[in-house]
Amino acid sequence: MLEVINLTKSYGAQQVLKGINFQAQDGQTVVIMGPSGCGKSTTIRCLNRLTEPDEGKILLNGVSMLKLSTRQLLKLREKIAFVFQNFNLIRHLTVQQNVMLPLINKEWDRSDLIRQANYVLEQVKLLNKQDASPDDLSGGQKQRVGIARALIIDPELLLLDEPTASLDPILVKEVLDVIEDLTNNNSKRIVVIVTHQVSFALKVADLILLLDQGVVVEQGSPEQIFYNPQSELGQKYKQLLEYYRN
Amino acid sequence: MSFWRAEFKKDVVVLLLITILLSSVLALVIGYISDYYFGDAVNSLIGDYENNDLLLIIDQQRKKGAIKRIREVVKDKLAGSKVISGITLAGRSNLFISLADKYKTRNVFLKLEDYFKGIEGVTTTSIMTEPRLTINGLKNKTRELLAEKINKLDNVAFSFPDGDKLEVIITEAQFRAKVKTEINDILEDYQALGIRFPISNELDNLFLLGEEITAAVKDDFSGTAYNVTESTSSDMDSLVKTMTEMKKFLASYATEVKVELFKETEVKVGDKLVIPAKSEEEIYLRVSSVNDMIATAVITAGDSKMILDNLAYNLNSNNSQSAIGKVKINNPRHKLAYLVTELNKLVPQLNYIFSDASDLIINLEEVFSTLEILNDTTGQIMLLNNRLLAYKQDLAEVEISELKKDLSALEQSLNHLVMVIERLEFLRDLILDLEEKLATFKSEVSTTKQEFVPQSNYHNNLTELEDNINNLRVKLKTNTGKIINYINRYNPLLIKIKDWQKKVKDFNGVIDKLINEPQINLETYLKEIIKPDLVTQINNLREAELEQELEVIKEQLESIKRIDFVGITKELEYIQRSLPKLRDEEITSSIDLLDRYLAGKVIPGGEISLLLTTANIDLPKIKAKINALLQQQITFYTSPPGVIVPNLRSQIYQILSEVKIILIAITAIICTVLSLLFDHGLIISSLQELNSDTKWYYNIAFYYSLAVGGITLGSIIYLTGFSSPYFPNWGFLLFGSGLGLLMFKEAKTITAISSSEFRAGEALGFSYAQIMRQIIIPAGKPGLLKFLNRYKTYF
Repeated sequence: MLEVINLTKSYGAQQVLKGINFQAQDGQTVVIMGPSGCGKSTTIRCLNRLTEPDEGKILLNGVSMLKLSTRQLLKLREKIAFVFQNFNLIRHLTVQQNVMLPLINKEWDRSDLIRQANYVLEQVKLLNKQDASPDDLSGGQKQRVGIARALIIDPELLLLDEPTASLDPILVKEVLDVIEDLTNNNSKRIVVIVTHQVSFALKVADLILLLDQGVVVEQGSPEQIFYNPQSELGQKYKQLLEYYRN
Repeated sequence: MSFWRAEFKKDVVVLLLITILLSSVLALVIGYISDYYFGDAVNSLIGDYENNDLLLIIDQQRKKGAIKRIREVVKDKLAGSKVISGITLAGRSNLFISLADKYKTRNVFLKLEDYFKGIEGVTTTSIMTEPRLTINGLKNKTRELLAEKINKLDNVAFSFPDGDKLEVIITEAQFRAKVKTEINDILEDYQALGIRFPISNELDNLFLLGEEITAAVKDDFSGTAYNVTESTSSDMDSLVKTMTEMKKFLASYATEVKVELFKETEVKVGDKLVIPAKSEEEIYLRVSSVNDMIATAVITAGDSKMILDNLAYNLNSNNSQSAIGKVKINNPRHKLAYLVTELNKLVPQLNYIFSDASDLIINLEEVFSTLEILNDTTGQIMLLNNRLLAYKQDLAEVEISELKKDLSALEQSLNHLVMVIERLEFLRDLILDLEEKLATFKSEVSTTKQEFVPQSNYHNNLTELEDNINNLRVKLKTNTGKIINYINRYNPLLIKIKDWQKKVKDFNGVIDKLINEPQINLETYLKEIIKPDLVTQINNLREAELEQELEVIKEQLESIKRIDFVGITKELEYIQRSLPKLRDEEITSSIDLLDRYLAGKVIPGGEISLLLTTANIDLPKIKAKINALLQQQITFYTSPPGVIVPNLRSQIYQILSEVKIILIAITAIICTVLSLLFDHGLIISSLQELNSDTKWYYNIAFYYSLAVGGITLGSIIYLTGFSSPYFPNWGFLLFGSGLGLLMFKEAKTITAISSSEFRAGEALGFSYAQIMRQIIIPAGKPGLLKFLNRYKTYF
């Protein structure tokens, strides 16, 4: 279970998170939505302490992440995967090596590691690109490599920070399809996704957080948010969903 | 994520150590190569001397014998030392001697050159031991005093004097700069104070006066004063003295021009005059003084021999077309030449005089021998005259044969007497002739003398010669006057004697007839030849007195011969040949040049030298004290007690060693820069990424940059043993830090790392070390860090 309690973060004088609270059960998918600059990415980056929050608590399966030492944090991060908006692939490594990278500290046989990498690459339909350089891939492929790199550790918490934001619309679908597949399995993995894709959120989310100006203005199931919104922002998303449907 | 707690710091330490070690080795190798390369180049020019102690230059023609002897000396006195042959150039061979260590002592070096100086063929010996420093310009006592202090310095092996130098042998070349600084410190503790007296002021015992001054100075001076006065003058003093004498010499032979100024002409000292010359080149004068309408000038261009007209014109005057006066030239060189020429003309005359004097002496000697028999002759004549008288009184008893015998004897005696008198007359003529020649000679010397300025040296010399000749002539005349008077007394007698001689001869011719013809009147004949009055007159001649007078004349004549007139002439010719073969303008310009040089010099008289400690020194007070003590015109000069002078070969090697250390320093700096660029730049960039939110003074990257730059460069410099008098070693720490700081500023441009990759690493749960090893370094520029990291990367 992931429990976020009263999470705050400031950059200088500007407070970007003003007490974020939510809770996700094992196997749930949390989608964080909101306008640009509302604090979505900061929130998700705080969840693995890529950005250090100022206050609050983050409890993952009862472990308070903010109290961990560096060593403990690094250890914990082995269970948390992060998919970046800009892919953040290692350019001097091949696709397969990028995917293997999270496990190189484990005492795995190299052959097992390769097999595992190939397995996740097959999952994201990129096994044929295992020896390619990230520079030779399309944006969608790069992001799928990023997802494969996240999946190889079989994370307890999978964080996806606007995974389609850098993709052109044609490529978005192939990425969303992969993520949708991930969320539809019966794993205990908690997935937190920051996205603007309303229909995608409707499909995959168990819990949707609507953030505006560092505050969760509304949270609830997709049905609740998109069909019976309580907040102004929720209303806007409802209208948007209707617009797409029409 | 903390850098200090990260495992990666081990990588950094290893990187630093290896960077420093490799860079140090590289710097040393480059230094060695430069040493080797440039050292070889220098050795080929000046010989490989660094390990040698003595250079002997040998005449190539006598090389074989000299080397044999040198080897013997080395074997005998410097056993174990090496003799090394060097190059032969222009007939000179170089031979080096490398001393065994046991001979590298002060005592050996004091005698070292003497061992080889006497060897035939060895033209030059020169000590070339290195490393050493040479202190120049030290007075004897100063040298002893300073040597005592210098010998106590660390890294000074020993020192030894060499002329006015002190050679200081240093234990190792690396200490040269340090010892030099320490010696300079010692030299700065002292000051030399020279007290010079004018050249005219010759002092008897300068050292004792120096002692007196030193004692007086000590009274008012809290420091220490030493009397280091030397009895011998310095080379410079000798030079100045020589130049002063040279100036006097040239000035005495320089042409002096007197211009008798016309009325209403104005000439100033320094005015430029011109005299028309025979050639196109006019004669220019510079006025040196003007007194009573007579300007004295020197010739600045041209030569007085070429003067065409005796009128001078003033170029500084508004009216330079009008003559300002009449010129009189006094050219001592020309006058001397004239004198020699004229005296040479007199030499033949003197030869005639000498010849005549010699003849006279011979004749006198003959007269002396004649006069010895004159007495006998006179006595004989008297005796015979008396016997003839007896015959006349008793004709009957006359034995014709006896008479004939007596007549023959009388005739012979009279012949003898006539010969003596005639010889005396000849002598008289010779004397008169000599007198005349002496008078002529004296007259010509007098004429020559008139050509010279009264009171000049040549005038005086000729006057002396003239006087000598005149004295001789007067003495000769005085003495010969008596003799000639004496001789003249014989003249009337000579006629009578000759008449008597004729009559005796005639009688002697007829006496044989008396035997056969008794009718011949014997008495008549006897009456004719008996001349008692004449005999009395002859007897009255005082031969002894004549002889005495003639002796005096002989002595006088011999004294003439003793005058070495030819010698005097030759001496003058020598002086004439020795005169500078210079034109007037050249003499003037030489004197001007000497004047210019001497103008800045104190003409050395005596010199007292003091050595004073510089602490609390009050020089004006000391000078005032000395002035008060000496009460005469003196000149002070102050100087350092000695100066460390560059030794050419040593300097070249010093430059080489500086080239070496500069190359080492440059290598160290380059290595540091390369290390910062290719290795630490990545780390600095990553640390900046890691601390992107923090200000620079909290940023570990900032301190890391300073530290690695300073440590890298400082350590390389330290390990290479670099030492420069121009830049302290700690300065390299700062300089290295500066380079690091520059790298800190430019790292994001020069060695940018991928922020997204770094973040990916973080997100993957990588430690900083893992991020660096697996992500950042493999993606970075090739360098030592990447090389060392290659075993730590998974891929």
